[in-house]
Amino acid sequence: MRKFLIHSFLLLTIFSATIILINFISEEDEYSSDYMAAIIDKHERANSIKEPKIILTGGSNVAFGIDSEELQKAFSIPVVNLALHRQLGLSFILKELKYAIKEGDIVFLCIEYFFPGEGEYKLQRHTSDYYKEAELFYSPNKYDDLKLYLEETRLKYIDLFNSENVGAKQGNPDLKDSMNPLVYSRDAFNKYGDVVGHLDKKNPGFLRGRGTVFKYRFWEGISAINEFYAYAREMNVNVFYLFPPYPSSDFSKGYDIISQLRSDLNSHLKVEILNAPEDFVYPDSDFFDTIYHLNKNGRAKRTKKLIELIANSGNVQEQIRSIKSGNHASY
Amino acid sequence: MLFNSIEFAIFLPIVFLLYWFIFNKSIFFQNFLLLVVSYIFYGWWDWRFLSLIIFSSLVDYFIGIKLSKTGNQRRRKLLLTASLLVNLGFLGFFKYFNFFVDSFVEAFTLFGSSFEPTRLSVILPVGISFYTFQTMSYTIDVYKGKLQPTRDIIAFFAFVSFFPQLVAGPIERAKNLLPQFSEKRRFEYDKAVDGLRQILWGLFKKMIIADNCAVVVDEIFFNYAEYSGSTLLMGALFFSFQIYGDFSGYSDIAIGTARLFGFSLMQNFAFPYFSRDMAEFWRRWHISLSTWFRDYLYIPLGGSRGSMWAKIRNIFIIFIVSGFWHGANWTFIVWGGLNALYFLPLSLLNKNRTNLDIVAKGKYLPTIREAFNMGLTFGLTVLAWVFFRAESVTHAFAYMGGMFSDSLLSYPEIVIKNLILLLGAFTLIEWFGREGQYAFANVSLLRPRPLRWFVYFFVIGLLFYFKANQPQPFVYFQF
Repeated sequence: MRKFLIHSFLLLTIFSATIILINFISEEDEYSSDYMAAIIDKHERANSIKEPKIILTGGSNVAFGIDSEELQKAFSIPVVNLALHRQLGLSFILKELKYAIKEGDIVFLCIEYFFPGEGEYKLQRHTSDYYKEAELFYSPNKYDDLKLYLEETRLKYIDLFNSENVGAKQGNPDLKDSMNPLVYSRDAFNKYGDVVGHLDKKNPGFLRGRGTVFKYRFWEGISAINEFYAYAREMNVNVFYLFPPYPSSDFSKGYDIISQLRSDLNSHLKVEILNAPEDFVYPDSDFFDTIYHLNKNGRAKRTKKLIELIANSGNVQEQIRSIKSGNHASY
Repeated sequence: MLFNSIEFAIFLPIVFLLYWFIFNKSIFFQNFLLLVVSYIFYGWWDWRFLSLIIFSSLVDYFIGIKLSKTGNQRRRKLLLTASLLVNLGFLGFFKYFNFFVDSFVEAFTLFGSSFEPTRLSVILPVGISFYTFQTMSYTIDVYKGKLQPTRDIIAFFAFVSFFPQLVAGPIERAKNLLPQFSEKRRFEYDKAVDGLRQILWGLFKKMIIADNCAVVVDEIFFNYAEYSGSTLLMGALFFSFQIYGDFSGYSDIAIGTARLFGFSLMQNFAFPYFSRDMAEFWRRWHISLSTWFRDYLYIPLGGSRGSMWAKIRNIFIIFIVSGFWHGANWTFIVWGGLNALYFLPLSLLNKNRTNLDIVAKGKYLPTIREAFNMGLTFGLTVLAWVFFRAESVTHAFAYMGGMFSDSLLSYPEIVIKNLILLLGAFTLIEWFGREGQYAFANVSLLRPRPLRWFVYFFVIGLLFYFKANQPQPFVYFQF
């Protein structure tokens, strides 16, 4: 037994040393161009704006599909687009908002349908790898960290040999093209926090998420948003809810369930809803690579519509006026 | 808990240390630990399933004791029937209820009637087909007087739930495994090292061969209408490797893990793709299940004795039941039927026991005749696997239609050179290791020790490098 334990220990030590060595050799550059690293720039902008601002957030539909610069021009209030990824989960996004909002801000929450509550740990951890404060937005745990550490080491090990593994090669090549590093990269964002890397790219020819079948459930996000809303009001911050963009062909298929969700939101959500689901329904050709990512044309249409919705909302207008007059009263 | 998970990599060393250092005072303590950790292992999926395995174990434990106390044949039959009813009842309820309801409805629809049946929304408990068969073997052997019932309830419960082989076999016979729970276990260095080596090889088969094939197979089977015949053929070939790597990989990990605890489990796969006829294939593929059906179904039915019609009937019964065991879908039944058709001529011509030894024993290469026979047998197996993998019988026939179309000879749309090279290397390793219990066992012969260690690290490196991005659950868990 002693011999077995010594040998096992030796093997384990060599294995662990190899892992540490791989991580040591593959030390990453200080600047990361990973898509999730954009969280640094977004929060840097949010922190740098001292006066009340408009914060846009939600899943990647907001990152890909709104022209914040246009919005800023239209209302002469600074705009920050905090949105990154749907799979970060609603809980993460609301905690991030709690961290980012300041008195007098206006928040537009544009949430994809049946947005997940908790999100993916891997993505959440990624954000805090780049932006330490993001640890406040989820619950880090050492066990999942160990799993991620090993997985990351594996990827670095593959990088060392400068090749792709078989599994990585087996994806749909078209899909891999659309996950273009120029689009899914920190460098693809503009200074407002919008993804603009895809605007001049050709649509890959298909939409991921197509054929999504919604199953009705009372969406747990409603109570989470209401809870956030109570916190925001104490901070004198106003919050407005928006339905996300959706391709017309899929919208008709999911219409019944979306209508049920809308009815639940109307009855239970304490936050004012600015639009109807139909307002952001566009032809499939206005989408880029997923059912929530608008392309250049779709983004322009949606921004125009959003400006119109804001202009027509008495409560938002009142809030904007009070920001401009320096009197940040909550309605 | 999956064998190819971090959870298991933490779980196994902890249990190993507890087993040999803390609970090593008596067999009772070691069995008790094995029982507890086996329930943790199983409950990791869903703790509610534990109630089934506990109930099943209780029933068979008490029926075993009752059987030993009564000589009344009628009463003994009744006890056996009760055990079979409980075990097969669970299996039928959780695995086959919806299948029978759907088939019933379809049959009625054919006659012009239609109705909305009550379907159950129950989850299939992981590994139910495996442990049910294991515990049934105990009761049947006690009934037949081949085995003395145990009165040690902890040993019996640990036998039914022994975590290395609980969810996907090998389906151990009580005669082989149960006595091992009553024997003093001594740690043996060579056995433990061999166990670790077999675990490593099992992980290689599962994580590299099976999981990488699975990605391509899923793509091709799902979008079969868009691919040429040659690509569909490639999909079927890849599936043959996937199912072998997946299932035999699991068995290797199970056998290796059991060895770490001083237990010997039966060999479950003996290089089936090197078989020279279908009879040999079935002696080498999923051995624990084939022999289970042989002993508890085929032979009681009369086996190969009796009239030709009885022989034919028995062959079809055993293969179709074996197919149905795999899942509640007509595809498995057709797969079983097809294998019966393959096997039938050999049996009727009394040629089903021609090839008992491994092919080209003691030689590097097979003869041309052997190579041809192996190729033919493999080809037939690949065709049958299409039914096994397809979602429905219609899907399987459409897939076959696409495969045997004009485009069969065209250049395939999907050619993954890395994967093909891997499969080639894997086949070579299997070929050169075919006389051992598992292909990688030969590594133990390498001298000096650093060379062996280099090979181990090389395989670990391959696991890291070629591991598929999306780990797949073991295919056989669904059975």
